[in-house]
Amino acid sequence: MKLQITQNKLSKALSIASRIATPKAGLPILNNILLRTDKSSLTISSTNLEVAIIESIPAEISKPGSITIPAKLLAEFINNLPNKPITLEVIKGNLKITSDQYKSTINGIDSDDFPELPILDEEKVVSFIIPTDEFKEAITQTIVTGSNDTTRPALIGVYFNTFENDLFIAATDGYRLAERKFIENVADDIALIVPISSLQEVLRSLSEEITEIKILFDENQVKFQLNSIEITSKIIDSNFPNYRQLIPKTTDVNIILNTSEFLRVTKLSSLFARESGGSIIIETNSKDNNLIISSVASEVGENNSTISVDVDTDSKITLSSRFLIDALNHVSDSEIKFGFSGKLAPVVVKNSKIDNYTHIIMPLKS
Amino acid sequence: MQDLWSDALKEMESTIPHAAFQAWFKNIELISHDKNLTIIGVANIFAKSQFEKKFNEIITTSLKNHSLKSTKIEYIIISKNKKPTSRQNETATATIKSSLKSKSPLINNGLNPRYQFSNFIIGSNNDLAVAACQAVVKNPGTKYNPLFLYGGSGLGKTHLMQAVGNEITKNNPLTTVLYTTIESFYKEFVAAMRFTKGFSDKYRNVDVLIVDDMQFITGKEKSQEEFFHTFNDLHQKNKQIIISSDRPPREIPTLTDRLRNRFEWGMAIDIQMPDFETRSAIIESKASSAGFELPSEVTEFLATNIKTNIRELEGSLNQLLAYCEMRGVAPDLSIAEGLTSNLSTTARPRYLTPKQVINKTAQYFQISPKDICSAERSRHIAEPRQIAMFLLRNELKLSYPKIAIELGRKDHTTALHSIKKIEKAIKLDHFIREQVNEIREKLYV
Repeated sequence: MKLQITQNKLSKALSIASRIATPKAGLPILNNILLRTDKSSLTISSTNLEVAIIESIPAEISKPGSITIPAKLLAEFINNLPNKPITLEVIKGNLKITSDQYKSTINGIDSDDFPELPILDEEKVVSFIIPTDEFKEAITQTIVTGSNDTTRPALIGVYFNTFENDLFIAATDGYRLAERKFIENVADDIALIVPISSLQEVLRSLSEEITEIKILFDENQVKFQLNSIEITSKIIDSNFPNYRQLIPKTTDVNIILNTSEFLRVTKLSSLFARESGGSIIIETNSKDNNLIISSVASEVGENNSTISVDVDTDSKITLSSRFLIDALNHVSDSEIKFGFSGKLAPVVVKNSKIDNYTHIIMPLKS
Repeated sequence: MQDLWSDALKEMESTIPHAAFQAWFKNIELISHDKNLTIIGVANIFAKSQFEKKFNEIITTSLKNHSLKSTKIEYIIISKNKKPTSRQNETATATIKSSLKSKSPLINNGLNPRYQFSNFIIGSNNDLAVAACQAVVKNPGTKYNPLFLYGGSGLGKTHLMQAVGNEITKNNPLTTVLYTTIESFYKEFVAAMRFTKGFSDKYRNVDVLIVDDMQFITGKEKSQEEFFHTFNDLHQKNKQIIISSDRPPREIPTLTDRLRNRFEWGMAIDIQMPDFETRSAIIESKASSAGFELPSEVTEFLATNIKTNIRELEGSLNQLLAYCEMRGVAPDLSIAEGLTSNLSTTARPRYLTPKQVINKTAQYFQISPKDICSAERSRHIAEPRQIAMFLLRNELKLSYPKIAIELGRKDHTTALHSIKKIEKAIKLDHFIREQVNEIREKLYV
């Protein structure tokens, strides 16, 4: 293998691909990155056996071939070279890198040992296209409520599901749940769980040139296509809770609040809630038309803030301030709809105008 | 067979580098084997592609060496975290349904295979209706034609009618059954008037026509006429017709006399609200088909608190189960209480005043609330008054003296007598029962 390539393109591609290259139980090859030549490009692949990243960058190929090289070392080395053409050449199973006056050789492993990466089953593929900004917002809004408890595999993923012709995504950790309308009017029905970690990889790989994302599913895997980058992930084979039943259709208390004001007050309250595990009390008062947020830390002091608001029901609820702050940080409107009923029923936070996001939080037992 | 398989695995372990064996071969399983096809279960899609592309040869050789030879080896992804219950088809298993596949021509008879007699809970409230439906299944088009089922929403009319359709198709796959709602009948009819043909073919070439929600035909004169002709045509050919509505034929407003007449030809049966035992049975059967076992106090709690509507009952149960599934906890009474207190308070106003009860009752009988509270004894006033007392007692749990005061009586014995009378009448006279039920529903609108 021998080729010439520009430093900045190679460096950028390596920084994305090397992130997931980590040694895994008995397979040191996963520490490496696979370099393989195509007609006029270099393909870079890496995998941790849950997700795989394949990138292709234009290069001048003088001799086709392939090799695997320790990912982090290669990425850092290339990153520190000046922005000039680089020559890569495989000599006796090692990679020789030449650029200007810099020369080095890195020991490689034969590319035959690199795992075969899965390929989508073309016959069963369903695909969707979504603008990058929309993707970014929607995924960020949902993964915030996801779990990292691997004993409940369904919850460490985002559930892509169609409902009444629209594609929704949802995630929950058992205490809160976020649902976002993802794409409207889709032709295919799907119900699949994509690992949150894979989605985070996709988010990290986005850049300004990527304006839209193509998402392809088959029964066992999902592929995100970001221009020349392809990220393939396994799908979590588990049952996602039947969450739609849990979203209250109506609530007793329905109020509209300014997002940033409510967020500030919640943050203030949370300072005094550390002792009580972050629990704050939210109370509506229909006589004075206000919302009272309070918390008590017997050793520190107490906090009590009031927001004036239109409300016609008196009610009270105890919530985790952390969860509420997360919710308020992820709505997109400047005003939110805040609804709850009773002490145990879920609290609902929604945008006041754009009805595409539902965030629910289970109250704490007071 | 599994012994041979573990021998084969041992052989492979000796030929493959230790690290690779640990990484790939540790979690594979032999699922099934015969001489044409061997199926091997692997952990995920990454493992699957390794086996298909890299290790297939090794496996083939090794299987052959241990007399497990077959012409083809397939690798499937098996999962250890899926619950192996009947629940899978209900909840969200990983699925892709391509639009092409789902539009099978077999499904457009409108029947949903989920609705069966076997999962319909029979109670004293609906046993007559069930019996009539089963008679129809046995002899479609002869015994009760048309069969007219009526009752409040969410009491199982659709389930029952669909079950008839499914059962008939099962008994004789050649029978054409068509289930439709009057709504889609109307829509198709309008579309047919504009540009398509084949409307009457579709509806008149069936052996069993099932029409849901007949009450919505109100005010659609042309559709009524079209339905009238369809009805006559089918009836003449001895084809079975089953109709449902939320009220009996005579109470569907603006229904033309000739249609009303025809609906009353056959059999009209009402489906009542289920009693406590039936409600409990419904909850238990739903919960167990979802793979949950409910503690008896939870069943009792739900059955006691949600009386009016099975759909609402199922809704609360589903909500409870979804909550438990999400939190990963077992259902118990405190969760049920927390969740349903919310549901019942949002579903209906929390406070119903005695005034409202009196006004709604008066409104229903088209008399003035003043009359109800007056001393007037003529029958058209006295009966509504008694019903109002009954509702005050039953819905608001007012004491007898309080009821007497609300209605301007001095003596609580009047109230006592009236309520007893209505209680008795409800059991005997289904006309009164209907009236009371209808007023009761209106109270909470």
